[in-house]
Amino acid sequence: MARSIKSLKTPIAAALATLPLCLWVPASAQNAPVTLNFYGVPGVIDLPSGEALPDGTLALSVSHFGGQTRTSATFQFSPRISGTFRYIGIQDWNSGGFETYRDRSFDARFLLVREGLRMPAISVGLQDFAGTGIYAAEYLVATKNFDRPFLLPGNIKVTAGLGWGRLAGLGSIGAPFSGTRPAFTDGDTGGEVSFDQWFRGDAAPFGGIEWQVNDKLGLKLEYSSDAYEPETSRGVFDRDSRLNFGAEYQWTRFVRVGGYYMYGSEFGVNFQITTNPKEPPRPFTLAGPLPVIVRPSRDAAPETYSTDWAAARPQVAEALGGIAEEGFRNDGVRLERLTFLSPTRVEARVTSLRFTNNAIAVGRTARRLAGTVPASVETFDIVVLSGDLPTTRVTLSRADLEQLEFQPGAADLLLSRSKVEDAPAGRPAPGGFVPEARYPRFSWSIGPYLRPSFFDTEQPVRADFGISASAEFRPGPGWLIAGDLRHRLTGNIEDSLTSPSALPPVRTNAVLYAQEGETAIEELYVAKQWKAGPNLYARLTAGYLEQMFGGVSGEVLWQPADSRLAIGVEANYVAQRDFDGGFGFQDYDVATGHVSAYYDFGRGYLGQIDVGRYLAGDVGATFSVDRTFRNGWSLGGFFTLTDVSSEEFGEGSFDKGIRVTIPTQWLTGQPQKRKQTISIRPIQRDGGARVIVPGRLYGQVRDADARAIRESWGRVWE
Amino acid sequence: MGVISTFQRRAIGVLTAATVLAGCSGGSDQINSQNARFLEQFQQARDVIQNRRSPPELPKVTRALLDGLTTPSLEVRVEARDGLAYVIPLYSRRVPGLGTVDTWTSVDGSQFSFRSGVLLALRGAGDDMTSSNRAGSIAFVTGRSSGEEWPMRLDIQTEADGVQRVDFRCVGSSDGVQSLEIVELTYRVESLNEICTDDAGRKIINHYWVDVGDRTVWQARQFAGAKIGYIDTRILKK
Repeated sequence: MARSIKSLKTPIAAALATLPLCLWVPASAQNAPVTLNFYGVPGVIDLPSGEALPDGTLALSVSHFGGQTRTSATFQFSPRISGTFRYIGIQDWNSGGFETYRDRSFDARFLLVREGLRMPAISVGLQDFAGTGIYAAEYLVATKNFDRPFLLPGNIKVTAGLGWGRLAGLGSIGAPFSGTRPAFTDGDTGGEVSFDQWFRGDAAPFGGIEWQVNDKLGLKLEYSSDAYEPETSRGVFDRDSRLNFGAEYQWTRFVRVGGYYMYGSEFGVNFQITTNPKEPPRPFTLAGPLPVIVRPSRDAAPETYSTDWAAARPQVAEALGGIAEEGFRNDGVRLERLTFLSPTRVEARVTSLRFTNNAIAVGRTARRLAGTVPASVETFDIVVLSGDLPTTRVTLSRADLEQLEFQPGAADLLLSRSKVEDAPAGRPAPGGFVPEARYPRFSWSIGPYLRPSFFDTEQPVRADFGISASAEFRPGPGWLIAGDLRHRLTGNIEDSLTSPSALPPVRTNAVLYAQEGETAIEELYVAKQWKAGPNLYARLTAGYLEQMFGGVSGEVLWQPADSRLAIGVEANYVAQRDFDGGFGFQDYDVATGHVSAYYDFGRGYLGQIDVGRYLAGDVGATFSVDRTFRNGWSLGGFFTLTDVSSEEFGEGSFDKGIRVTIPTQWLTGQPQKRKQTISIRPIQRDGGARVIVPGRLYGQVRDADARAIRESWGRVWE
Repeated sequence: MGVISTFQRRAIGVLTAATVLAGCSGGSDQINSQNARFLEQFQQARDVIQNRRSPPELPKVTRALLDGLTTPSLEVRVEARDGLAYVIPLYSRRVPGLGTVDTWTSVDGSQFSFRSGVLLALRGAGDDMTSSNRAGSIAFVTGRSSGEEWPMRLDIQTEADGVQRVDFRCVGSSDGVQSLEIVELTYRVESLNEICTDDAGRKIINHYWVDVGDRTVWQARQFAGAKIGYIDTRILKK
């Protein structure tokens, strides 16, 4: 079967080039939207295509045919790189101990060539590259768009490719890179990256056509090279043809649905949702700011600039701060302290209450100050606090504020004349206004909670739902006492199946917490955060830190204002909590901690490496990469390698997952700091597990540091 | 673990639903718990839906109604959103190098800043224009243009919380003098077109109806960004 690469150059080239040539018409100015296949990646029906989704797109899809359901999430991590996580269920499997076969898998794709006037888009893809291998395949595929070909309305995409592994089940043209690859066997624990199989064994060509008739309707036809051998041999479905065809309908801007006839025997459906952090459902709308109150000129009204008031600076600050405090709050900012450093300089320490973008908070603070402080004050020092940590000091000239608002490039001009730097550590300047209600502060909330659990061997999603009461008490700067009491009303996590673990069961006994902790203390702790020195932040936390562990935790973070690199050290001594979620602890305790390096690659790409000891006592490192957006969105993935062998780890071989953060303001269009974060693992085991500590420093500081404020400075006049 | 009866479960369910709907929270801070996030998101979604269902009704504009106003009034229409608002002056400011900039505001806090009828900034409407370089446009509508092409630069708020800069090259043309009626009053205006092309070859056309006497821009249609599109304005009362 194996043939040399030389003999296959022609077929490969033909597969990639023939179709574009025979249909050549001038390229479209705007291509039809990139649609998804049954694997949730850009493609025709069951086959991949060569295009990439628009940068930043998050695509979710659920497809079903022939007793097979695939739920996929694809993220276009960069203009060229995308990743996919997939959960599948295959009914009537009846093999390897499974009646219904359930599995998780990951894909990765790279756009080799962007589509041009003559060149098609070309992508290379790895399908199910780190799973059990049921869908394992690799492909090289090209797609070209044609606008109104043969005078037909709409747009036609033509796709041709070459597949290995699963995509070489039919019509093999030999093995271009020689080698063999083992057949899929169920019962494998999976999880290991199968480098040795990639592009090995036979290859087969495939192709398809997609006709986007108009904005709503799309028609698809493809010629598949997938033999579906594991499925047909087990009687899951009968595959009678290599042809698939169907129609899709763009229901809304975000939702696309399709119906298909597949493999000559089955009807299929595909439901796709695509969204993009850069395209919110509603535009971010923030009511216009307070006008900058412009002082009369010194020549016209010299008495206005008198500094006689400065003899009683603390008293003046107290009076003016008291008057303006409510106004600051209405602007979405909490005034923490107002101090006149001299007759010409004022310092306002503020916390953004509503804006994730701290440049907006700085701009609104400056506007409020311009309408509040005496005319002789020429310089505004605005210290931005995150929590109670002073992160950044912005120094503005009042005259610039008065003169630049309507100048071309007003934001850039203001930034070029201002100073954005690390906020000084230590106590703020004495004297001045401090709100009476600053400390102690108490807040509470009662409402619903939802605890999801993903991908046990029987169900893709389980959840507990109930009511929770939470409270926070801040007795002084940096101090926080917080708690959360939960009562479960309904849910099915307690019905999850458990599998034995060779490691201390630090996470796999979650089901026991669900069974015994109907009413439980989710967390109850005391924490202190402070700025320990220039660019240096610290935290101490003690108490019931999370559902399963309690103890003490300490962290130090070095995060220079102008550095892409930050370093953190965290040390914890924790014990496993009782299953009933009460005050008691079990016998298991562990010292765990990490040294963390965070690196901002720019353009929203963040990398993180945590090296240390995990909850089960294993030692290793976690590698993470995230794509972040200025509006608060973040998507990324992580994996952990420790000294635990894949056999000891169990199913999945090592810990890995994806995480998504969605800001509330993206959904509502209204300014709001809240975010929802969710981490999804293919399976939760005990190796590579970290304790969850509330109030970790890096994210908190990074949102308000000098780099973040500079990067979002374009919004300062809002 | 005790056994809870069906009745108790239902009662707890009703209480929970009531709690969710009531938005049960208090204190001086934004508490950072999951239930607080749920509550706030629920309340914001409810507000959005309510605002969509019952947008404020606008009055029927007549000259008699306008004569009764004590402040100037400007009608603003955002074409892409089919949105209409009547705005009033918020403040005027003398800006070095630009002259007097007039800022108008709507009830919901959208702010429109003009110099000689040329839109300089738009804030509070979403997809805002944070700043601009429109010196050439101002010279064009005030009749001081040299006749050569001029640059136009718009700084537009992006969806990802940033700002995108768009540069145009513009030329002007005139459709001549004509009559323009605005709510029962007729003005003699010159109809001016400002035709601008960006670096990618995309073209936009701003249109101004300028009083032949004092160069007041009585009516205009101006581009304010790809998302928000064109803004139509009419001076209802000067």
